[in-house]
Amino acid sequence: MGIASHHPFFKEYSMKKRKRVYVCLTIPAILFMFVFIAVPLIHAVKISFFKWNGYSQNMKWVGLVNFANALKDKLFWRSVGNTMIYGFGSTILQNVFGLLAALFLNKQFKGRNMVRVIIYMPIMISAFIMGQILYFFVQYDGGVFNELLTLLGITPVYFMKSGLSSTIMIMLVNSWQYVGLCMIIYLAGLQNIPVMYREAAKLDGAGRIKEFFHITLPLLMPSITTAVVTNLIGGFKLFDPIVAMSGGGPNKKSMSLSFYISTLYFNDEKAGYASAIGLLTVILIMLIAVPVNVWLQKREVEY
Amino acid sequence: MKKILALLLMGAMVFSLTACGGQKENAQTQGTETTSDLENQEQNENPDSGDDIEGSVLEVAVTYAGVQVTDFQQIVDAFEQEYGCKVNIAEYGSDYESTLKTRMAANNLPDVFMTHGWSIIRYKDYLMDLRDEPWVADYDESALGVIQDKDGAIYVLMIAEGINGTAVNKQVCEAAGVDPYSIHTWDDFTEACATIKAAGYTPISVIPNPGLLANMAGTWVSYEGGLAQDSEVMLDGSWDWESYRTVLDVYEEWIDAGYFYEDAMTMNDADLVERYANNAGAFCLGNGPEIMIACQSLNPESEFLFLPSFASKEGGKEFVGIGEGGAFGIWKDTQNEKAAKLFLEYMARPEVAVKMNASTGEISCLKSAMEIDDGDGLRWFEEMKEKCAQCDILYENLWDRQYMPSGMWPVFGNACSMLFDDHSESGKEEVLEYLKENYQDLYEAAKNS
Amino acid sequence: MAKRKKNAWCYVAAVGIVLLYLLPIYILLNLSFRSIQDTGSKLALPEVWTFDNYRKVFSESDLWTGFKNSILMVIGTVIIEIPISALGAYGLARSGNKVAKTIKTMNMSIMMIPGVALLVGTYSLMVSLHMTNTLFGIILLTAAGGIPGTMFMYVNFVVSIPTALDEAAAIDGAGVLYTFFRIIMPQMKAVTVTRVIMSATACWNSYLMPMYLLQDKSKFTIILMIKSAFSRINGVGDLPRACAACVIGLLPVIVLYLLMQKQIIEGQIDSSVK
Repeated sequence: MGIASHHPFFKEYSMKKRKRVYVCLTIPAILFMFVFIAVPLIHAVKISFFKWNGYSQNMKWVGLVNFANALKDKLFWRSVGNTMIYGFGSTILQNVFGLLAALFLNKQFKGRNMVRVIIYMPIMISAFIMGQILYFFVQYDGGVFNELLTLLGITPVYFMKSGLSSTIMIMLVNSWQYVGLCMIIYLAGLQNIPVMYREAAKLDGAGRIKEFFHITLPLLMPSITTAVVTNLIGGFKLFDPIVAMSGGGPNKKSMSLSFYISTLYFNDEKAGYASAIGLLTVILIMLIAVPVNVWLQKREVEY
Repeated sequence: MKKILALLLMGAMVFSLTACGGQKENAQTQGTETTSDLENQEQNENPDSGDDIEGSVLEVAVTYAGVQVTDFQQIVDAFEQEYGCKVNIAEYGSDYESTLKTRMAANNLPDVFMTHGWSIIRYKDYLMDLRDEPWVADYDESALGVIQDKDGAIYVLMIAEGINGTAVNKQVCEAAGVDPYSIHTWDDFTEACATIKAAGYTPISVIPNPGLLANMAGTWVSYEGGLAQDSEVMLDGSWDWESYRTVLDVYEEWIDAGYFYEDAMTMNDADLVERYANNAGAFCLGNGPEIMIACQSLNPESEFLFLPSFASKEGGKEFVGIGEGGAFGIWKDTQNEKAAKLFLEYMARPEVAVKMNASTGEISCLKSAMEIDDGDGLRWFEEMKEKCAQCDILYENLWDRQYMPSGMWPVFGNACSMLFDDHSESGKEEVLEYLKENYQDLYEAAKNS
Repeated sequence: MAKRKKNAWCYVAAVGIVLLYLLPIYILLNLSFRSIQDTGSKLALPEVWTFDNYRKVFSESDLWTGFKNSILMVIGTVIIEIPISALGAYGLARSGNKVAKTIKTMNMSIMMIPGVALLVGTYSLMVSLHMTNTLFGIILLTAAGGIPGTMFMYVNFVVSIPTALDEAAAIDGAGVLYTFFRIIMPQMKAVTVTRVIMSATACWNSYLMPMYLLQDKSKFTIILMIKSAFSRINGVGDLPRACAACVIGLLPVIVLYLLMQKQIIEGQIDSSVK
């Protein structure tokens, strides 16, 4: 360690001084977050009190009008509802199927690795492009799903008919694409469960189902927390596949809040209003994600 | 600990302040550079040789897509060869408008960009006045009406006009036994739709779009011999939209009769073109040669003809909307003024303009180009004029541009989606209310600006 | 016998899953070999196979510009994001006082803010910093967006490295930075590799911010190039060509993934154990 002490950068510190240095190490990170997250946030708060088209020089102070309007805005509430479907729907599906996939792939069989690789593959592909490809599947006339149904002798289904069905289709596509993330988290969790617990259960004569609910699931709680919270946040932010698959339609009924914000800003030229809805979105996500996180963490068991 | 936090915040602020300050300085020096560049250019001005733009790089943003871009690329290649100037084409497809808007906010526009529809009003502050350019004299009268400013300024080179009416799929009409030239009123049209529907085709091949509610509206509520003539009150901002209810009623009738594709609400425009090209539908309302050309690139065997929008009652005016087509403007702060102007001169050459218009299906509007235009667009237009010689057709600027305040176009688009989503009495009431509200807001906004 | 039967069930499920996940890729490939006039069934093979779409895509400079920009963006982002986050996480985990805890909670909440929610503010900031339409701007922004998540992940790891290591180093006279680079970072090699891959993929695939910030086609990333190939005006577009562009654009990512699948997936598993 001789070299270290000669270099001016690597000076010796007392333990107390060291603590202070540790705090200093976080400065670059905090600076970054300050400039590119806090400053825009402050700016967004400011803009939300104005009526502004997004590019002109005149901004008109309107106070809380934008927020008041949002609460009366049918499209806003519709988007809130859709965002909930995107968030909770994706979370539930990805966790259930991710866990199933993990249990399945925790077995020994030939080709297991290939299946794992293929389930994880869509995660490497941009959600926007995936949405673009999946649009070809859900088309009513000549879409791949309906072609398959016709082959099976079933009448074609109009998948994107209503706002609700479009929202659900997009949610399904998003879940399908990102199931691999949950699968990995659960695989890690499963591999971490000491074998002796399961063996003990077997010795007690517990059936497979009982073993799963009484041993495996409780011990997976930390993994569940991670998987649920990440997916929830990801689902609430959903944007790309909506652009590619429905463009927010029919009649703006499959918009997420993110999509609505960008439409307001770039198409309707309502930057102030868009900003207000953006802030409401942040509040909404926190109001849901934080309690869920706390609630789940309480249920984690130590082993 | 507090000290450290305070320090952090200070540091961050200093950082952002210096960053801002630095940028401002940059902007200033950039500004002076620009002016000195301009001076240089003026000194170098030498209209006979194009050599002095050699090596410069021009960014041209266009509203072309697909095959049109390929054709435009060829035209640009020839320009590059002739002048030794590099041209970067930027096509943003359906994001064109929002992208240009963000670029306006950043005051960083392409050297040359296409304007479209109402947006001349929006882009005006960012465009160079081109009234002294050589091609201005070549404009046809009808074109000048569309693009000249109140005080005589001309901001764009317009190489084409678009015509707007009804696109007709000839083969579908023949198969169903409908003679399209016998249709003169919307009642005739509804009757034809019934025949086509009975023959197993979709009569009206459209997806909800602003044009459906805006382009033909005048035949019901504005033009001579129509059900109502509200033009005056429309223009003074006091229109109550009551007479517009007819338009919604007509759509209600068509929707109830199943004259549209079942999935019209959610298919995209590419699906529409694909189906129309493959003879699934008969009429495309509020459209023109653009869609016909697009269809023929997918199915060269498909055949089309062009008709006006129809009259709302016997003896009323049929209508062909004339709007601006491909129009190129120059950013007023461009660093490549000389090259940009030469590029516009190049695009104004008759053979170049005609080639591009053949690709888009628009009609040449520069006199020299009109003489040699042999594109499909003009052919369809001439054919219509010949076959409809005895009809009473009004040729005028598009209805919304003539009678509606700026900014109504997207409003009509939203209204159209709303109507297709819910065409019940309460749904129609909502649409009417939505249109009226935005009309009043935009009228006020236009008056104040 | 019973064992074999059970395995048979596994294989049926496996084949089902593989089909479900490969069908979109098949459709994309299938469409990319068609002529523009071939608008028939998407499942059936092309009526006539054509390589024209690929020829067209290759002959345009767009794709290469896109690749170049995407690569620059990924490299820039990773170089900024990873060291700053690791360093920050180390400091955070070791300072172990109230400030650290507050910052950790803040970090968590920042992760919950969708980028779009601040769109208006971010865009105005970038305009005032003259960073719109520059790769540099998008790099700083993407890195900043990734820092909370990356830092959060590193914190979990640093915590599991015994402080005894640091103390021993301190007694030997090593400074904080020396300890970090020579003793802590090597311990976190695996997680760093995983994190680099994750950040790089996220950055390569990002769509929203590049779309709004990069307007000049010479600055477009590969995703934006593909998007503009798909987009159309009034239905005028060239779908097969867009699909070809899409295939070429996806190819490097997929090939890289298949080559490195073991490291990527194992790394992910390891790093989610914390």
